Amino acid sequence: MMDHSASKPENTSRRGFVAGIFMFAGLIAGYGAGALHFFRYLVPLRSNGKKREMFVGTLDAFAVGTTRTVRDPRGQEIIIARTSNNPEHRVSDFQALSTKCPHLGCKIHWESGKERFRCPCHEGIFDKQGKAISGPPAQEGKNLTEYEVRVNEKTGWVYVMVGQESSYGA
Amino acid sequence: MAHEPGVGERHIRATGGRLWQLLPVDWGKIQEVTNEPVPGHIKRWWFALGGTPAYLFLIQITTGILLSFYYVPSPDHAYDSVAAITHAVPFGWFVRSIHKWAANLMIITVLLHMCRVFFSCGFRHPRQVNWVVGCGLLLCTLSLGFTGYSLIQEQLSYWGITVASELVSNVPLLGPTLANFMRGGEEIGPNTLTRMFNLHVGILPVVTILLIGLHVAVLRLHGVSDLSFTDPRLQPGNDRLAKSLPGVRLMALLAALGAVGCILAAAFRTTAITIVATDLSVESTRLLCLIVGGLLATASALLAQGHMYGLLLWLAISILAIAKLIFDLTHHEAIHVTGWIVMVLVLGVTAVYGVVRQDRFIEGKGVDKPFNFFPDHIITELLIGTLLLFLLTLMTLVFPAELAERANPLVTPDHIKPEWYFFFQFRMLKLTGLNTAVVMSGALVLMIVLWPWIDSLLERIAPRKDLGIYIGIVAFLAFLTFTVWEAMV
Repeated sequence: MMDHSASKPENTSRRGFVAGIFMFAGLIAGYGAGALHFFRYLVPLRSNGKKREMFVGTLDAFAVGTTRTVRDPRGQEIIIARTSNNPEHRVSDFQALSTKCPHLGCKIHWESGKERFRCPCHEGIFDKQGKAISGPPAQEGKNLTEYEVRVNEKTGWVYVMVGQESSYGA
Repeated sequence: MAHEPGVGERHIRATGGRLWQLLPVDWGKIQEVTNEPVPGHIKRWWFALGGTPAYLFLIQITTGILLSFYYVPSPDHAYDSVAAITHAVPFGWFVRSIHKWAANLMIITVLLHMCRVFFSCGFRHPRQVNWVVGCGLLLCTLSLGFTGYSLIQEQLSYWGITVASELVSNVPLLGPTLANFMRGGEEIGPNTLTRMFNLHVGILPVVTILLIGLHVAVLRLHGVSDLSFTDPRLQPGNDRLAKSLPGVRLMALLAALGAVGCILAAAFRTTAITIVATDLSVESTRLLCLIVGGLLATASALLAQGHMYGLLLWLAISILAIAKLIFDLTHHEAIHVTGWIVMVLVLGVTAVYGVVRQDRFIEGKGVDKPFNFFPDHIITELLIGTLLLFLLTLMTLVFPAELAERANPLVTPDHIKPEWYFFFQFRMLKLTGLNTAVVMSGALVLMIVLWPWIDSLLERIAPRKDLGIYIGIVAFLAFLTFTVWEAMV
């Protein structure tokens, strides 16, 4: 279009040029809108950022010094440890850690003899509290993600707060 | 062009016109296009490497279509369907192994072709665009490898895609969005597999085909580049043809002996044979011996005349025979183990010898003058193709594709590694930090894509010093070192 008008300036009228511009804009708008919808189709569903409670256990059955492992709706494992018995501030009794290494997403595991978490991918080491001690996570200052814990005082039920999924899963 | 009747027109008249009117093709024009003379140096193997990835890509399409008949792209069934292909479907292991090895060879040949273009400076003005298209093909090949591997759903493919998506999410600015788009969610899930499947069997192959078309079209528009250095072997007088080479005469003799043996077996053999787990009757065995004997006799006669088709026939028979012999050896069915090994060696050596000396089968080879694309160059490509089939069959029989442990999202295995073609990046990741590695990978890809312009800049800074070549050598050695280093650890 532009080349054409450039090579033969005597054939270009202002009206033709404007018509060309509009036609081009119309084509872009029409096909572009279609392309945008196809693109939107492929964008994954976003979690809405809302969280929900996930039941872990009851205060009576959850002895001090023990841990429990649960899986959140996305399949991630969470380790919940009860460290104390403090009737004033129940929430501080618990610590819930993600088992996903903050470096490259591998699964960490607990090494009971050495009292530490280890990531097999690049030898990331975390202490009991999930603080990175050595390996790539320590260099980047990334600790294990901690989940919020809630305790219902009346019923004595312990919950961990996990991301709420859309009703279609995904 | 001249207005005398072309070859095609004459052809149309000769075959009585009416039928050809149904398909009004101008054969003369087609010959003009396909028979474009190409420079003499293309007869060297090194310069005919570009066709190999294309040939392997055809193999990938064929075996890929076959695999897709049984593969189920769902997290619950993917692993089981691959297991079924490997262990239950007749010849499923063979199709899958060919697919796996052809993928690896495709990456190797793309890299070799790229090296050739790099070190012979084939990317220089005016051929920059084709270098960029070629880089696109390299990225497509690597992505095909990655997505294909992630479809198996074994431990390493699952954790491979986990690590890769975390790497992507560390790309500055766009990272998390890109990673979510790639995974189809914020974690690896059912959507991830369907995305990988779609990329592997739909989008990437189509893009690859389009890019190959563009690559070849741009190549034909520019014509093959002239060689900027001389090859001492390309001197007149060094043109002993195949039929006068002692090795080729020996091959003809071997083929004749084989033919006699086969024909004797066809006449007198009374015991049946088993070919790759199929029991033949005595009659079929004799018929097979007769056919093989006839083929060997033909190959012998053609080889004695130094004819290209004799070499092709010999290669084809050798490949099948070696495959059968190695199958026997690995399945403890060889009757005389030493005899089998000797036969494999003899066939292998002659096949390699024939492939090395293939240029002697083309007349006028010693002179560096243009020759026809068809059939001369096509024969070179076909020979490389035969060699590749040879390699593929061997790899498949000796190292068939296996299936490791099923993917388990709860346990990361102790030693995770990507496929060998990502070892370079994996080593880089271990040596530097996460962000550095991601940024460096991006910079590296950008540098490779923009190399023609970087090279011309270097030429302007230091004319005729060929700085680019030295950078290329260092980069290639670094790639090799890192790859081997990661493989050893």
